[in-house]
Amino acid sequence: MTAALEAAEVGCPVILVEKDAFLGGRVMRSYKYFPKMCPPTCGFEINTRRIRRNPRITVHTLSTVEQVAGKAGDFTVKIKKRPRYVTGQCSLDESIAEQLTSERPDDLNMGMGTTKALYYPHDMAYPPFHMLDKEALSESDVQTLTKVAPAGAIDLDMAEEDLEADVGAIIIATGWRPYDASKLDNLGFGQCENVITNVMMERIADPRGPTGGKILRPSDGNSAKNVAFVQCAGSRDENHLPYCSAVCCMASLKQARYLRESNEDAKVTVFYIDIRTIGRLEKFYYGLLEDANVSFVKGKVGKITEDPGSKDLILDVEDTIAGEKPEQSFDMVVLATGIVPNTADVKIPFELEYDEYGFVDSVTDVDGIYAAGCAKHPCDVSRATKESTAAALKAIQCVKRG
Amino acid sequence: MVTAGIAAPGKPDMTEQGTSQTTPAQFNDSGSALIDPDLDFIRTLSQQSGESYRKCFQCGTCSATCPISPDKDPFPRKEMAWAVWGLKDRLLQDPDVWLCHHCNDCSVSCPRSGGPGDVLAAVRRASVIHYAAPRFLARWVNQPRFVPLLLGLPALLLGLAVWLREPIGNALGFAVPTGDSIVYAYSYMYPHWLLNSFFGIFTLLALTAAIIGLVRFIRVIKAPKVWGATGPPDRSFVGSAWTAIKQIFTHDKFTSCTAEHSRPLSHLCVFIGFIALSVVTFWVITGPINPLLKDGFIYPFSFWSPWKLLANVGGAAVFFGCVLMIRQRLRNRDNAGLSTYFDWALVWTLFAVVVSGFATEALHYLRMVPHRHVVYFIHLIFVFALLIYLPYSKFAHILYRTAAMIYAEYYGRNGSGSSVATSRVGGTDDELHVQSPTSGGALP
Amino acid sequence: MEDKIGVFVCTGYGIAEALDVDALCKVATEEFSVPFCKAVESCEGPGLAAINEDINNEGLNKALIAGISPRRYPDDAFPDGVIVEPVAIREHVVWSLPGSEEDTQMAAQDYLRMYLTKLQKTKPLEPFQPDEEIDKSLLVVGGGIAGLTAAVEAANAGYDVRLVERTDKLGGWLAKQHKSIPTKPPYRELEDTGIDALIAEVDGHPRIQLYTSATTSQIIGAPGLFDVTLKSTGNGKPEGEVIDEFRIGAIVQATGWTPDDPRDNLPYGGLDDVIRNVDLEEMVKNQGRITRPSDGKEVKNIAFIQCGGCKDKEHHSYCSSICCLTSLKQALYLREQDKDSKAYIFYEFMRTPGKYESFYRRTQEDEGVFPTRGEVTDVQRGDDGVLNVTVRDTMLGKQIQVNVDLVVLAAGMIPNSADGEAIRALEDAKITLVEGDSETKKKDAAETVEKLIQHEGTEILNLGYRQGPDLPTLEYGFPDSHFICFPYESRRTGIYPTGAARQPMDGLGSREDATGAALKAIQCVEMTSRGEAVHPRAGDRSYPDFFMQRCTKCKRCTEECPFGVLNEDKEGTPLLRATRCRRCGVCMGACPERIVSFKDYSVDIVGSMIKAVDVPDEFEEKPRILVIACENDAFPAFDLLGQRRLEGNPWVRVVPVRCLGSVNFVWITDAMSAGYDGVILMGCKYGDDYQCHFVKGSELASVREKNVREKLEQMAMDTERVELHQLQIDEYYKLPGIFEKFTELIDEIGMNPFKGM
Repeated sequence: MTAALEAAEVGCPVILVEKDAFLGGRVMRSYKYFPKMCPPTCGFEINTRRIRRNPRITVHTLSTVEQVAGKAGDFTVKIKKRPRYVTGQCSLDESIAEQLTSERPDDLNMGMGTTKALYYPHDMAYPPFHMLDKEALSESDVQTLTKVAPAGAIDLDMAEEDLEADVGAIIIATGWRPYDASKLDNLGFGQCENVITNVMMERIADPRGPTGGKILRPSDGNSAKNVAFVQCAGSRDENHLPYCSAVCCMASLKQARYLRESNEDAKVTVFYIDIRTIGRLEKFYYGLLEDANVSFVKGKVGKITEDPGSKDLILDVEDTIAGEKPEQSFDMVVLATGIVPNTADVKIPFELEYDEYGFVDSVTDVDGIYAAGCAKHPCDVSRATKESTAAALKAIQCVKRG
Repeated sequence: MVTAGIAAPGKPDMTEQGTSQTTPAQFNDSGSALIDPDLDFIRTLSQQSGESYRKCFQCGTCSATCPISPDKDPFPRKEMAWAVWGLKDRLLQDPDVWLCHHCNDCSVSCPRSGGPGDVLAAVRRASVIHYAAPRFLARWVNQPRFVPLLLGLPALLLGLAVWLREPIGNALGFAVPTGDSIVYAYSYMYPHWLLNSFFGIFTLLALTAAIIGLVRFIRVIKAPKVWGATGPPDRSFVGSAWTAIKQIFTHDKFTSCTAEHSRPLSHLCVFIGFIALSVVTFWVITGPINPLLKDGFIYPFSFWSPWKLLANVGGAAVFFGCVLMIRQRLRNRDNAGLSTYFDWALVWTLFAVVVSGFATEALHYLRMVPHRHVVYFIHLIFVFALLIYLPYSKFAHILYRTAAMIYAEYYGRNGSGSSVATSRVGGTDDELHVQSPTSGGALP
Repeated sequence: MEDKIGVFVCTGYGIAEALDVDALCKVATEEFSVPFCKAVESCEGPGLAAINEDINNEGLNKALIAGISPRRYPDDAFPDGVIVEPVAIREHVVWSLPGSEEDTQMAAQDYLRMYLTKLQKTKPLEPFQPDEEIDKSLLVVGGGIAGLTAAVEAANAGYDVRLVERTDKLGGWLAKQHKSIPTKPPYRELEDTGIDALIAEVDGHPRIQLYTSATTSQIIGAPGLFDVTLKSTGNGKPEGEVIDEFRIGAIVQATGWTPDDPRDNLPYGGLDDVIRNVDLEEMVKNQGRITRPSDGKEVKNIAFIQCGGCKDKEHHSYCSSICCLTSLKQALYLREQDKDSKAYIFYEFMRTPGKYESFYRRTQEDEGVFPTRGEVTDVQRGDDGVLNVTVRDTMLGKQIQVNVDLVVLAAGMIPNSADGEAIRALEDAKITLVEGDSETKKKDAAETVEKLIQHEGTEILNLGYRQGPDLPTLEYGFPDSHFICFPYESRRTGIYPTGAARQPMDGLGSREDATGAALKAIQCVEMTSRGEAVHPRAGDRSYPDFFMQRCTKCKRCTEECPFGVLNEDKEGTPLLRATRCRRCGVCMGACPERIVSFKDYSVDIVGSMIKAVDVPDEFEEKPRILVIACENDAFPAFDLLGQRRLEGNPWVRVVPVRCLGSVNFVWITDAMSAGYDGVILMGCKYGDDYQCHFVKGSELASVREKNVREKLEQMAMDTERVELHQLQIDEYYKLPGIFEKFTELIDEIGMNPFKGM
């Protein structure tokens, strides 16, 4: 999104292809940004206004790039656009969705909770249209819709579209997905109810999330009072992700703040190998050191087991500075799962080099194709932003060369 | 090089870390410890356990996942640190490396594929060599290129024995079977007086060597400070020894391993089988002079004699155990851990002993001459290798590990006071139960 | 041209069910005698097409669409040259207030009145075009990795660049490095720095004009119109001599960093053989071997002390982010030199983020590298010259010691930036010290001088700005103003800090950063040449206009502008430099004479909107609450309130403002005299973690609010009638609560006594 805007504001026409129904990607699932604890919506509002204001940007949501042919300065891109079934001719109103019975898992909330089959992707959704999950739609709901929906608002026969575009340069900003925590068999995700991941925590802490912002343990809905953060859950681990995911430390410290700010008695323990709060982010870590209820233990958690009765979690871990294996029991555990590039499984339909982890190789760029953000390496919002700005210039150079 | 003992003067302010102030008991030496990494030792360890062990970044996963590591100063994380830093002396003086049963739970979950289990194995090998007397023999025993020499020596001696049995026998006035007595068992080849005295002598030598090594080792580990204690504990040494022995017989520490389940079984087979065989051998050797069985002691036994049966069952157990071990080591490399010459030498020797033993027995019943004598000869070579090289081979672990486990029990390092460790080996109350690896959702 | 206004009232989305549309139309046609008013079913898609058709057919030049939120329309949704004002009566009225009730209807009608008023007073925009032509060339200050990259990347995009380097050599710190950390997969082996190639590219580039041994002695003007004077730093030419004068469009500040010297804070800092990582780097680069400063003996063992042994709140409280990697790299230098050498690395946290973890693993595999967590408590020199290092809380035990020949401190990176505002404050204070008319003033000035004296002579850019010669800096001296979402933003339009001057980063990071900064600079000149504002109101074609006849030279605007847009002449008359302007309107809020206005946003326009509301007299028991909301956060929150169907408040009338800083407090007094019972100001978070995209806007508002309270007291009004809230978009769910409490308050203190006067 940033790359598109920066290029377009220079004066260059841009086509923005997004596979989701809305722009914003992963950050729209974050409650707050570190280290300012400010909402992503704030910067996002500015960026949507920039898009609204800029006629040079064409946005294709629900779209994927199927084929790329040609060379730098002269690519032909085939885009497949999935149907939204909502025309955008007449924006809908929650009361219509309310009348439907069929529901679907809420992917915005990491599958915690459900939405109606007709749903507004999120508060700040851009483009500002509802999305209809036709698979989830029951027969009776089809009837209801045809009755209640304003004429022309919904088109159940909307078909997949194939678009083609000629572009001079391509920027890959395909982003990331969280590492599948169920692969961490020692850490009990999926087996212990009160073991959640950091991405789930973002939603749980968000007042607009599945729990209305109350940080509750899944097993019994009691508020979490004694929470452990397990760092490097998959990252820096040759059995999983050998690289460091770069953002998990700050993410956990931020989430520790969520807890402390929502409950003054809450206790937090962070189990780490190295706290990686780079640059000015260090201040955030110092801030938490001031907090008596937040403690840091140097030691990677080896195993998490559940007390069958209380559903509390027992952690096997060594406090490596004290040289002890203390009894560690918590009522909730947050796994700091890492970043996996989306290009790890879905490759760009073009001859490209990837590194051993599936990131788009950050150095051997094919001329005319430039990567940015987590498609390139694990990084935070600020880094992703500057990289996409840089990629925008590379692309402009390429276009100007023709 | 100065001993890498480590001390804790000054009161470190760890409040920022939010961690406890306790000093790892093992580092209670007085005076700060000057450290000088031993690069050669690092190279040896790398060679024995794989370079990647140096990638250890001290996360502590190994200590956390180790089912038998105690709560205080758990292993193998600290050993990994010392190994990475090549702190040879400290490792050789560390009894914890002997408490490890190399179940490899740690290696399997190590995020750096550092193989702590293998590192400890390599350290044990180094210790065996370090404590052995004479040391050069230990070096030989643990290097493939000396195999011809090491097997040639017993071959030569046993050959000489056959050749010289008549002159010696006549000189000493022992009966020497003559030509027609060939129908008799092997006593034609090796009369019992010869066999017993031959092995007797060498076993005594080996035993002395073993004892010297053991004493050297115990001198080090009996020191209270090694166990983070200030003085000898108010616990009965005999009692502790007894508990430890029981643990050894039941293999209960070993069975708490999760990465490689069949391992304790194979070890148990070899263990029991070997004991059975030793008992029978002892009986046989002492037969003629043993007051317990003056009469009715007929040797060789008939096939159905309980002694013979015990021996055969024992042999079978060892055979089965060896087969299992070899299979694990070949099949399941990741979980079984690295197999070095140190390991293979022992397994194959054991295997060779039982196989040649059974072969001899079979040929004996088939009355096949002279094959049976050839095989018997080979059998004796391996028996020699197994017994006489014991203090220098991996076999020596029966000495060092036993000693370490006894002292660990004595100083309360094995559990008593450290709930995790005890819980690992079948704790009963709920909290412990959850911890024990046989329950809890987190197991594969 | 005579205005022809048209009004379209949308009946879809349940509006017709909830409201009396005819009554709405009457407001337009009767109260405002609008010639054209039409009820339409929809104002999107075909509906919108129909509206646009009517606009064209009727020849309207202004139109109001009472329907859906303006946030749902792209700017090109309407015919060119027509001013269209969408009014969100769906979100703000129908969706958040109970249907078909008198109060709901009143709200809708008031909004119609407000926006019709606005529409009447709004004038068509003419993009700002200065008399002179906008210059699109760039100035890059600093010839290090960031500066060189910015220059090359901008030049390759077809822009002329002038690169200024203070020293006589290009390449900065990277040129002083022997090798650089891996940048290519598999991220294991050290690489050539590649700086020479880059320098060669700059040297030969037809679009790059290179100046070494030069600094900017003066930069006056504004984006697109900067006039730069370069003077010599004294290599070759005599120092201070003017080298060149030229005009450029935008500036990239890549002034790099200076290594900290932790030795000053360490008891053992005085020992000869305790050096910094930068010193070691130069040693290897220049002499190829690592030797001991004390006796020139070749070094066998080194102890690397991370964070310079003193990263803490007092000394160097931020992480310089590359020191861990540097020490690992330098450990390998030592290992290459001697296969039996030992490199100890003592760290608190080993920081090798992302794929650099591979490099960390690779160095660990080297048998002579010994990293451990640990805190170096002391270094003692033995008689044999050996340094004995004591480390506590290591992974090997509570306390260990090692003997080494050399101790290398990881020195932190300090940005080469100057705090323009501080420098200016210092100068002002010095002047007051001499000319101050009262003793107290002089005393305060003396204190200020003492506090800021370390800023003396730190100028870098030497900008001709009233608010100081350099970018204002934030914590730790970093000049970037929105480092999370908009990392290149600074508080001086058209000047983009990059590289280590912006925040600590490695070579690869600097290259990316500089490429992005180059783009922002290019973007700035392009948008400026189109007469558009840059971030955050990117593309805005309005600009402030000062009615100078009424100016009292009070200097508030020149002092309060967050972006230093306004200069002053001797008398203190504000001189507008329009291309510096971000269109926030803070000057408009500051001006007591109300002489600042935009064509579509002015004290008069907003004031009239407020007064356009029909305030019932106190006997009707219908209080009126004015909400003045920041257009980026609080105002969209009202949309979400409706979208989520939360209960709004029928007494509330909300007016969007560009920034709370642009709120001219005459609006509040006007509102009071107009009979409103209370005013709520809603803006962004301010303070250290400010979210205001105009940096100081909401903070200024909070300051001014206090003055307003005094004003209210003079009017014999309860000061509680004015509240200021910090509200984020996603906190829309807090709105009902805020309103409830406020209405309760009004009930307590009673209605505004000025009603109906």
